[in-house]
Amino acid sequence: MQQFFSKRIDPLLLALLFALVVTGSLTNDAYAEATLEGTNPAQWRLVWKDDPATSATLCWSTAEAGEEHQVHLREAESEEPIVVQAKHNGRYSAKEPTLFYHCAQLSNLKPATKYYVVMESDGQRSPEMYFVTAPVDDVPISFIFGADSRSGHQERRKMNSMLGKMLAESHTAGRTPILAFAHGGDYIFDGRRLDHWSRWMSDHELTVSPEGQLLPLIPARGNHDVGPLFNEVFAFPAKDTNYYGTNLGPKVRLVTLNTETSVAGNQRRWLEKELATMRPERRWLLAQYHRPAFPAVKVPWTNLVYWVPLFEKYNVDLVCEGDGHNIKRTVPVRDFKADPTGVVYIGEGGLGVGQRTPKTRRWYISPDDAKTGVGHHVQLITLDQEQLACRVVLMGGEVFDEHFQSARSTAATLSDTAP
Amino acid sequence: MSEAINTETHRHRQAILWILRVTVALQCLGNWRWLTQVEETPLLHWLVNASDVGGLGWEESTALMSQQVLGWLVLLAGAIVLWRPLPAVLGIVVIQQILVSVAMWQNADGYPLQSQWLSPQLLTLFPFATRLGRIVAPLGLMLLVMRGKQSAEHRFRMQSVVTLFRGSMAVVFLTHGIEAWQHNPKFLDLLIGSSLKLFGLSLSQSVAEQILTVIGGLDIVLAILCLGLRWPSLFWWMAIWGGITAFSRVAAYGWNLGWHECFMRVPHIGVPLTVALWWHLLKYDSPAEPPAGSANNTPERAV
Repeated sequence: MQQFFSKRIDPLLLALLFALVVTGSLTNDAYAEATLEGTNPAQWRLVWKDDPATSATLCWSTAEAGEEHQVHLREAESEEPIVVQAKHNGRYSAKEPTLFYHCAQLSNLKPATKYYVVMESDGQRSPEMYFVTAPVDDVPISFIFGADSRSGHQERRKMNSMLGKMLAESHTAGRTPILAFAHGGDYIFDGRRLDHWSRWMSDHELTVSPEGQLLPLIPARGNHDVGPLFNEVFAFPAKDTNYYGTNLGPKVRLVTLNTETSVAGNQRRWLEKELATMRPERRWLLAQYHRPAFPAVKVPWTNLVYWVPLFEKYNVDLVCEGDGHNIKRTVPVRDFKADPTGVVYIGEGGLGVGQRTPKTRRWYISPDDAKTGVGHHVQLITLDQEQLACRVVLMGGEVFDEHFQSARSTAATLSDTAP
Repeated sequence: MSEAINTETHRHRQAILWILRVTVALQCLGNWRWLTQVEETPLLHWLVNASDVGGLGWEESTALMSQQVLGWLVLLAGAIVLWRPLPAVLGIVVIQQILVSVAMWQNADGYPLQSQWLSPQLLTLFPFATRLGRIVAPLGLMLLVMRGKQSAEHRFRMQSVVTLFRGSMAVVFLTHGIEAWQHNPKFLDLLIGSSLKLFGLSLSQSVAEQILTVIGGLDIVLAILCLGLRWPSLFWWMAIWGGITAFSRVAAYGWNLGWHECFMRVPHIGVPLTVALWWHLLKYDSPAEPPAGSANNTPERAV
């Protein structure tokens, strides 16, 4: 039986808030504000896709093309770094500004292991930073969901700094470590403009923790992220359609979908196959994408018709949506009715963008067991063997909403009621 | 004989005006629903967007109220146009349509045209081209109902409007053709959804893409032909195709979610229909005097 909408405040959360206040004076400037000059590495981002227990992609930018680009990768317990060549290099496909991307595929990594990295382009080196790979053991994990950083530049920077601090705090003793940051899209205002992307990539440096830990990114494409630059920034193949599944542990699968390509075509078929395969194997099955099927402000996207029946059929546990610029958690929904066995939709985006007022008369957000609000925020999602906790953390560290739900029983992972 | 021709001419002129009046009225109805009931429009987003991304930074409540006022004004304008097509009233509709296009431009909204040789700033102007039919329908009617002092002036104005309509339909078909050619995902989903709902046919994406390539190619050819040929059948087909694509919104989304989307696109029927009827009218209007640019009085002849 699911345990929905508990109102209790987790003491660990209070500890998080305290830690955020205490560490407020700490900054991650040592790993931010890198200068884009010559071949000096800057704008680093670590991208997670299919199997982050053993692989990751590390990308950075330079102002000049350079000739040799590599990553010095060192396991925490080892003194000897190995050199990984950046094989995916090129000029961002925009006339201006002139910038170059470099991406190194880090593979054959050990699960749940700390790796130090230094990026190097033609002898110019970045500061040493580190990241931790995803576990293969069934241990509690957490990740952050957020969306809509396309405007509100100062707020975006503040939110990024907060993410860096949350990452650091989560890796202290007794806390569930934050593995990654699932960005639900609308990074920038106009995806065809490299000046917008460049600013975002520089701001993203602020998500590095004060200790130098990189926050891995699991990117979804938003409606403002149009054009080829998205795939260049996040190291997707040029024609990639940006839907994929990520293992955040042996029992957690996060499905990233793309509302900006065909929703009814190949993607729907892939989604059905993905959910059918993963549902029996995963305790937690989650999805993220940009345009909401159950919006708090805007109108439903066509995924309401083509994806929602699949979410219900395969009993997806939690769906993360962006685009609406507000805070939202729906009641559990099945067959267009509130149903305790249904799917909960959260999110709507607040990584800097101006906030909208939720339309609280909509049936899926009007009941007392739903929650809406306004404010820059992220969702901190923690998953263990029994329970999923979703907490809305506002800019500044205040927890706006807490939501708990129990793991579905194996028998309930395939719905008899859904079409 | 002359009296019969005059009667026929008058009948056609009235038919053209009524087609445009109904077109604009339905367009207004669709826009009213969009602006006041659906509310989430590019216009609203432009008004509330922060100034650092080209928005006007209005308070959400002010923006919503302003949009409501505009929506009801547009509905009133549509009703008045049916009663009497006053130029000032039609001007409101034109302004509303231009405002939405400006908003789409400022929001970087609309189809992200893929082009390596056009600058991103220029690409953001694409919505003006795709929405041109919706702007020129009320604009053309406005020009037609402005009273000229002499019939020659009126005739010149009619020819100007028809030229404007031809050009705008060429642009609309060209831009939509490019979108289809580039497999706009919205078009793909419309095609897949419509064929499933109307015919129970589950189209694969690859088949839908092939169909869109053909449709896109046809649209581009039509866009070129309609500028070069004075061929009413071409515009009859454009009107039918405009109707099919407008109705596909209802077919794919259902009546409740799709009717305003359908009505907002009625100019894609009314505008080409006007051109086709005008050329029929020319047959009767000046039998002794071939229309300008025509080698004889056969409208099917290239000019």
